[in-house]
Amino acid sequence: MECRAFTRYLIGIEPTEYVVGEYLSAHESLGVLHAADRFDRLLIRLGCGPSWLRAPAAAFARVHAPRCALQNKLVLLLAILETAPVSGRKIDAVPSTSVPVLLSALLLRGILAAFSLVLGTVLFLPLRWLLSGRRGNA
Amino acid sequence: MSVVVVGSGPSGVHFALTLLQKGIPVTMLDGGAPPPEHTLPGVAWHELRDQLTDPAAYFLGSEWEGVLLPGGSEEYYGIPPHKQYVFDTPANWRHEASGFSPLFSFAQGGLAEAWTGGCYPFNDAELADFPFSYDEIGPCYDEVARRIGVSGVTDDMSRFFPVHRHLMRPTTPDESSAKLLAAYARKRSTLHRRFGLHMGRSRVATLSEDLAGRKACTYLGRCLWGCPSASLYTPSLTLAECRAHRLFTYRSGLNVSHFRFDADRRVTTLVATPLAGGEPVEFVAERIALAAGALSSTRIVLESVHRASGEVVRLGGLMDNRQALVPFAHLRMLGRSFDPRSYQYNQVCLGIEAERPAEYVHGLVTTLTTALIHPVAQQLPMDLGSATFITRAMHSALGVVNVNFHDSRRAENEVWLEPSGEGEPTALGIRYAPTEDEPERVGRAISTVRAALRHLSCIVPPGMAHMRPMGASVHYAGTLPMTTEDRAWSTRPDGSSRDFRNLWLVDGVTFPFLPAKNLTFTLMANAVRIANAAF
Repeated sequence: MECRAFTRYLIGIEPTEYVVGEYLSAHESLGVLHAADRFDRLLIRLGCGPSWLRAPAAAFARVHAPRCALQNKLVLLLAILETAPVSGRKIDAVPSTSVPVLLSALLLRGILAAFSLVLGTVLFLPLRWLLSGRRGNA
Repeated sequence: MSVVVVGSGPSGVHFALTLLQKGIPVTMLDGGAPPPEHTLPGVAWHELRDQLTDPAAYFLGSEWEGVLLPGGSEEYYGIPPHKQYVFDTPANWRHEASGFSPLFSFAQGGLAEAWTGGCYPFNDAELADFPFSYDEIGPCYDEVARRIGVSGVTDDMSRFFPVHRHLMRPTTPDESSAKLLAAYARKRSTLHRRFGLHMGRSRVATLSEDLAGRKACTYLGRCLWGCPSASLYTPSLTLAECRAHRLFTYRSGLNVSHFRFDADRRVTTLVATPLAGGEPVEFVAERIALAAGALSSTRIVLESVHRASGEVVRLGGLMDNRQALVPFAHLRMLGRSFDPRSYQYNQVCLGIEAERPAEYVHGLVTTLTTALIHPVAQQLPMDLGSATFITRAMHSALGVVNVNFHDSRRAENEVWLEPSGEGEPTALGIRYAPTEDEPERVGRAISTVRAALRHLSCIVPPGMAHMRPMGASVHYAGTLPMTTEDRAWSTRPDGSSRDFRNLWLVDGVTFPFLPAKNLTFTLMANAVRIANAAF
């Protein structure tokens, strides 16, 4: 489920069985893909939960916790996707387009990315503080 | 008269081949780890995904060592998994370094098996500290170019690199490189006047025409992964040529640790440990040439002295090229798709004049064609989904300038041997500190590159220039310099050691100055020069 959700988030398609298999295989050998604490687990769960939360969770991970398990999972999955047959072609096959269309698309995506970062910060920073604070008081 | 050569890198193989051509028998002692077989030779990079049964294992490694995860090197590309053999060292190989991240190789062909092919002759200004001029080494550049195949043109960059013979026409540039060169042609006088910046085609050891059984480049886009058609030269090709010679003996699987010498400082035997384990093996030698790479050749000398007398010698003058990576987006390529059938390495280079010509700054301009994007996408300060979208959309417009800086010998940049406990292997100690003005020099050069790129319709995203750690360029040199002065721990102009009677030093250990250019072509030419001068 995690692999499917992350793949749809990253490149908008379903992962092949090969991609899912490689993703699971990587988790057997790479410790950095496993959640380090409660907040990490929560971030991963929300990152593959409701679609509207995926980008904010990923934005939070990139900016506020760049070495967390969620960011590691996403980077690993992107690496697998770009080297696998179907998804690799999808990633490479960006058609030529006019510069105004491209710039518009980039601008819109940039605005969405900024919004995701703001939302992610507002949602997850207090959660991290709460969970870290509770662990510290246990 | 026979010669024992230690190491099969660019210096060792061209030194050996020259001796063989003169009828002199050569025995080469080498780590000699062989390269893996090329996977699906003839298949282009972007087609490998569809034809491999396990593409992730090929591109990312069986242990995922090819995935650049956050918190790692912050490089924009990683070493492919099956190239990792170039950098493997024996289990008991130890070093302790401060301010330096060294790499070593026990592979056939040495560290240059992972080079990017740049062939830039040193000019007379850069050779000022060497005990010879371009006139003496020029024919050696010609000979190496004849052997390996170098492609390039006479253009604005020729003011920095002398034009040698046997220069093949250049490879076909990808669209982004071609547009950059066209923009440079329009803005040339402005760039010269305002920035002292020049641009032109890279000179690379890549064939544009068939040569001696090797095929011309067919743009498979697999340069970084290892050229399966041998169009991109690597020293293991010359090693193969040596091995076919009747006067050549190749002993691989060995780590030459030291030599023994008599009271007259004449080397009597070389001692090597089999990499597979077992007792040391000794080789009697009349004449010995060390070509194991600057750090490893230094280590052999230091270990030899230490074992003989217990003395710990500290050799100063270690040099390497500082490198800074400056990513850019080429606005004239926006909206264009990239051609996957492209040469993967740099096709364009730039040079920035300096007040002192020897201090010129060298830049390699690589436009992104076939490449993994996850190292690039994760650098953008946004969620990875958006970063992936942006990186994909701009793929054909992306590129990076690898800016290289010269280095000079300074006594405080030292290499020595760290003694260890009984039965424990010694460690190579390395200390390096940059000059005090390095941040200002590097910052000024990056600003110049950034401003020049703007004139070429390229923008550099703020905050994404990346300084590589010292040692990353693998252009090590300088600890036993060539000089005409008669002093200890130096070599004569013909490469002979002043400290040991029958020892020659053939690799970068002897370079008294390191210009900003890739030194590998000069390593090869100097090895030919020494072989002709001394034997």
